[in-house]
Amino acid sequence: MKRNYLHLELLLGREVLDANGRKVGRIEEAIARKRGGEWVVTEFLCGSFGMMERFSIHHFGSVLMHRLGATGTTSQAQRIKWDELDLSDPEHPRLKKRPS
Amino acid sequence: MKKKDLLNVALGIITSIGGFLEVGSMATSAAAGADFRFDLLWVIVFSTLCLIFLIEMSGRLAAVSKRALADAVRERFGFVFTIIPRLLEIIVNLLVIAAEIGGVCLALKLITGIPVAVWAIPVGVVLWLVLWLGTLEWIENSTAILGLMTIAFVVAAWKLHPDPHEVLRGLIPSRAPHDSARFWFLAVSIAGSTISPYMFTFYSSGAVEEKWDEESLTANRLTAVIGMGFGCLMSIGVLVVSAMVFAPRNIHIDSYEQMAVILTPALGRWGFPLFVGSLAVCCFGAAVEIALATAYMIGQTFGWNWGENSEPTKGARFALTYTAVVVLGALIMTTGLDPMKLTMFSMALTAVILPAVVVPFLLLVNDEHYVGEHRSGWIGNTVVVVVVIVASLIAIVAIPLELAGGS
Amino acid sequence: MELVRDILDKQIRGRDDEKLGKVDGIVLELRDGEPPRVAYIELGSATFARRIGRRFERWAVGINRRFGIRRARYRIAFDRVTDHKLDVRVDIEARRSPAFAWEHWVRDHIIKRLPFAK
Repeated sequence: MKRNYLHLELLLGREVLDANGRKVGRIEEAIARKRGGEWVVTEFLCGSFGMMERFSIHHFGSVLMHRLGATGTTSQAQRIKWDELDLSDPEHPRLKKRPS
Repeated sequence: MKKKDLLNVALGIITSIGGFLEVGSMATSAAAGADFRFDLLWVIVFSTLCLIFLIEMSGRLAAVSKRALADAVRERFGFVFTIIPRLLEIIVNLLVIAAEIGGVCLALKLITGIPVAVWAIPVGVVLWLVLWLGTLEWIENSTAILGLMTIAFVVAAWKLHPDPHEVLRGLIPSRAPHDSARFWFLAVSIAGSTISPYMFTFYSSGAVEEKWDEESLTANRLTAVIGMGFGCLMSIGVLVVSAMVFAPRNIHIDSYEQMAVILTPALGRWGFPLFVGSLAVCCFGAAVEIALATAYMIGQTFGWNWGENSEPTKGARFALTYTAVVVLGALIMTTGLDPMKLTMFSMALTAVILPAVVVPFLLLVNDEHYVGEHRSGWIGNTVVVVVVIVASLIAIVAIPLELAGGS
Repeated sequence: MELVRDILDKQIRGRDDEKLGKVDGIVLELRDGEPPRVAYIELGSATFARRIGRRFERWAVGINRRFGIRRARYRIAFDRVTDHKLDVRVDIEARRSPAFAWEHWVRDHIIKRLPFAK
């Protein structure tokens, strides 16, 4: 049986688009939980700063950014559940359409 | 503090004093004193202040997180980001180790008359043997204790009776009295020779090898403040002596041969041997540190077995790395490059790359995931950011101007 | 567990306490109707070179082949990870694993040939 593998480190920093082609954010992190003896990814975190989040912005960087006039940014990244993200093309991840 | 810890602190302080001066700080301080008398003293002081904070931070990071600097930078910021500061440091380290080997060769040339390029390979071989066969403790202690002969510069400075008011005025930041390009080039070269990235890589790696923990934080602070503080007195000694000996005679230092007589007016027949001995020992000690620091940095970035205390066969890639650094450094000096020019240029280049190296470091020592409750205070953060960014910006402007000026 | 913060680029140590390398990559298995499984950690010159670009990956593979190193990347099943608090500890003897190939090559072809190697 052919298995479908994906490299997480190559997914980092990729821009996520929604179903309408609008930018959602960049993939920064993957949250894993243990289920039934195996580790599975339950959520992805997407943020405005993308890879910059990895640069420890929280402590004094976000203060600096706000003082420099950065608006609309939050230190909280957006959480996307695993089943909401289409990773069939890892170079262009997209949000799946929500069922109406 | 226990007796054993006090002994370690004392040894750490001696290591810092004895290891502070090297070819960069000697050349830049001597050139500064000759061209501008005491007007660049403030640069030594501000650079040392910045260095004290950075050394303390690197020891604290190692003691609390149990990770050396390069290791922690890769882990926190990822591989792709880490390549940039690491590559820059490797280039600068190779130039600086070549300059340090050049310093040792020059000391030997002053005694024997045999050219620098001829001494490069034998000095490289001895350097390699010390790294290959020695342990970290033995290397640190022996070069540092021998390096205490640099106290001769402080003694000479005192004996020459500089005007204390002039010296104190030199501690206040000032504009260039003449030749701005040269003034600021020397200022950033002094900063680059004092705040050398290899020093904090070496210090944090040594702290991990010696298994420091949170109980070592007080010793770390004392070593950084007292050790570096006293160490900077050696640089100040070189500058003051140069100002008293060369400036009145309008002698512009552009070779180490000219520096050979720097201690003679104050110390008589002991002047020349003490200068030659200081140059040889300090440069040799610095070369050892740079070779190890480069190997630590690369080994930690790729996750190899690393450590000066383990045998070469147990850390083969680590041993190969420092061997390669020594070989390349020695080969650079066989080309006949002027050691003084190489020194000045590599010190100024160090100042240019400082932000790329220091900024990720600063973020780490403010990250509670790494240092827990022992985060840096705002004073240390501010001093480091200001000094490093200002030094780098000035270097970017000053280096081309100095090169255009024909030095 | 946050995979980027807690696992990626962290030091890997074997059960013999030797350093294997760094976690250069994390491999997820995508499955229909189920959450992606964390399948492997991956290390090796080809893995970290790929993070810079495909050309660097090809160079890394070529250099490994040139020196007779069979594998430019090496995967460790994620269920062999026993701890990740300080380092990522794996239930593998580091010195016997293919990840140590370069260390052995350098030791045997260069280090042991230099004087006073022991």
